[in-house]
Amino acid sequence: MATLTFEQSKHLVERSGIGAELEMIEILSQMTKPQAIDYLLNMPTDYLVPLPRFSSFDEVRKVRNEKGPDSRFKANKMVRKERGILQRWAISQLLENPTALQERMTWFWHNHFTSSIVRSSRTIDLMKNQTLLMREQALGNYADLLKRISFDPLMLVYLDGQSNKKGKPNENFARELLELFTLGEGNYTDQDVKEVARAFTGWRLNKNNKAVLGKRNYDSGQKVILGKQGRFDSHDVLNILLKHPKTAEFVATKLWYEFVSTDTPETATIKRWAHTLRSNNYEIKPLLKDIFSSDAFWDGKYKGTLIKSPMDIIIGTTRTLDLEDKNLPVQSLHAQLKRMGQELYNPPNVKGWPGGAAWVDGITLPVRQQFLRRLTRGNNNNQKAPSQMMMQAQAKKAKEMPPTATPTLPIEMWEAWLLPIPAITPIKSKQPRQRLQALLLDPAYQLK
Amino acid sequence: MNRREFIQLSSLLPTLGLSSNIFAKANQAKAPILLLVELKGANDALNTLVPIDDDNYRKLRPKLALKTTDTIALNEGFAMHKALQPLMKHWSAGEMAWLHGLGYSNPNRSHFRSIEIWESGSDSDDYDTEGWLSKLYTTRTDHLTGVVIGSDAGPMAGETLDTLVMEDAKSYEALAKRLKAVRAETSNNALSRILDVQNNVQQNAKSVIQTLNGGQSSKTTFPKNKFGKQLEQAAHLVRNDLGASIYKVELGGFDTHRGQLKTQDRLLKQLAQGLSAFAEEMKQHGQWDNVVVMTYSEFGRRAAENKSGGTDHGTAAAHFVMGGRVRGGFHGKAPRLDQLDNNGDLIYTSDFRSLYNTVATQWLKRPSPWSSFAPFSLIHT
Repeated sequence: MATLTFEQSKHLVERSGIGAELEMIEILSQMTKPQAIDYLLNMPTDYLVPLPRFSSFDEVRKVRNEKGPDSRFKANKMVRKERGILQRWAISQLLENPTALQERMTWFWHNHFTSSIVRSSRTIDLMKNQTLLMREQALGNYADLLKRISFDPLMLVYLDGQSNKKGKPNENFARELLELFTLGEGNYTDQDVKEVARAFTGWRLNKNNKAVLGKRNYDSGQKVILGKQGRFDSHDVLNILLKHPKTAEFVATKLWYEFVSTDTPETATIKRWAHTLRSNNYEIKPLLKDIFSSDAFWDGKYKGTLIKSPMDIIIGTTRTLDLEDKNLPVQSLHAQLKRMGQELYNPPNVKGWPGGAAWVDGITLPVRQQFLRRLTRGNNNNQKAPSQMMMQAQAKKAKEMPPTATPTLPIEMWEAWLLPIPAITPIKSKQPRQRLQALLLDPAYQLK
Repeated sequence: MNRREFIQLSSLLPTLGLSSNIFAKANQAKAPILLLVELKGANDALNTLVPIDDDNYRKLRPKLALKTTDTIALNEGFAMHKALQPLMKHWSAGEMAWLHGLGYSNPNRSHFRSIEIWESGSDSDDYDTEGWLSKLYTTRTDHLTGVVIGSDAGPMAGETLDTLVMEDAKSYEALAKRLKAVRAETSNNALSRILDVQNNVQQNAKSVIQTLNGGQSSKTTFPKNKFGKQLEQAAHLVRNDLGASIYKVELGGFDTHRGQLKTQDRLLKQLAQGLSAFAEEMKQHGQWDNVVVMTYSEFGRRAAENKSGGTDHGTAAAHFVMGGRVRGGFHGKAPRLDQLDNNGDLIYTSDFRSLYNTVATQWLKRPSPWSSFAPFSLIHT
């Protein structure tokens, strides 16, 4: 079997990871397609930027309960500050982790099992623990992830699981479990939601912020869920959902939009992928292997049919141009993500970021273009660092931006490296920096 | 899937493409103007429109209650914060309306969530990000209709209302001037989306920047602060017939958990001085009868003061509407201070969508999705 061409290798690197890193493109282009896919799926997943310590709930509470009029504000300020620390940590992790696929899948699951850092107001530890779970299970097992996220302390706060009590059910979690986490809309009834909510009654956080089942508030009665009858508890419900064929199809469909195209997938493809997921006990890697090996993934008609997310634009471009170890002002990258509509750990609502066409509008497109323009601005002789203008939000604080590294790739290959489809506006310049800027500002660069 | 289906799937709207602005302008010259003023952070309405004769007011706020001398008496037992003095002439002229107790059921006290509810005009448990003004249009407007001078599209978010958002004219010019119009035929839906947006921004930016840089200059002196500048730019665009009918500006800093008296005094002064200049400018150019100004905020603040000289997140709030054809005076019913909810918050007396229904049908003359919320009689016909 032939080894991958440059274009094929680039396609696989960019679609599976974040950015089109030349180093990875070179490594994979020495392999056959199955070898390259195996290589990607078996990269190490233990890279972790040292995690800062976050104040525990008790420590925050202590500050909150101090005497004096300002104690509440001090406590809120403390949590807000730590929120920023976690968000910046996540950006460093995105920039540095050699296994970009793990990062992509971590954020895929964050956007599937949505929570918000804003609701982590007791202590940022809750969001930190949740993000470590996503990271651990990014390429792990969907069923395990579902079972753990259902009793995740922040999830219990975010979707009001704590107020779901016998006789006084709160359906928030139950509804999202069915609509967003497993079956998808249209595959259950309102009555199912009510019954599932009953099965999940009684869970609360104890003093140590651990999820525990309080028997007194648990409704142990008979329930009818998706046509089945029994004295189901929360674990039974999850097992019922995992046995339901729609769950795997729903996850497979979401992965189509993540990895293949904004266009609607074919039913047969989704059924096949769903079957792979279920027949492998919800292990994620076999499914990803199927996706990356599929005809659709490589089909020319789907090239350039995904719209890059802010993460692709900001982190991806940084990784592509090999700028990630250049002491970047992470706070500014955070501000840019926010301006483009993807503040980490803070999705617009429980449905997560809708993505696709919604990433670009009259507000975000100029911001995306401005970021790219400023990233590549500089004088032509590579002597002086371009002024650090790219981060408007932090213009005064940010340090100077290093010049972009001139890639070792021959200049005539840059278009194939940076654009998924031919440039919309033909690129004439042979001067490296001008050419780089023209390629990044071409509408085709917004796609992958 | 063809492009139309793609766009509908993404809950987007057809054709963002180029349109003829010249024809649009000619037709839209007499379009009614709506100026939205967002009071970011949640203004404390109880100290803005003050129930000055109500003893409960002073009981709830031993330190924060305004003295009679810090207010301007209106009538029916209410007074305005004295920082709003520049607006008194509009009140006296009967062209400023106060709407009591605007809110919604199952109130959410998160800034982020509650402003989303207000700006989308949706129920408390309905997650919807399409702006309430965008909901008044079923197909995309064929010309620039909304201009936001501030941080986000908010009530104009969505795909039906052709809207431009700029933090301020100068930085927007820098941001947009290098965007070029791009023409390309493609069957790639994702690429079509990028090209449509880029062409749309390019065209709108061009006309806004041209209008701002040309035309008659203002006859009024606007306050030099950020809010004043936003209003000056909005006035310039209205006066020189940009053709947009909906404008939005914002004034931030109302989240007064502590030290409220000083902060709110400063902000309300900015609000009143800015809007007074805006109204004067509209009058000078014979446009005041064609303008409605309305304030809104994510929620009101807690009825009782807190221990830090401030107030916490609450629920219902009074807001005002003004303009040459506005029916001045009080509308709706003031929430009772002796009947608070379990949280110690005011119980709303009118759903905020009653106001939206009113603005939609009586001012913008659009079919309203909120016909179930009784309108106010707010506009002279």
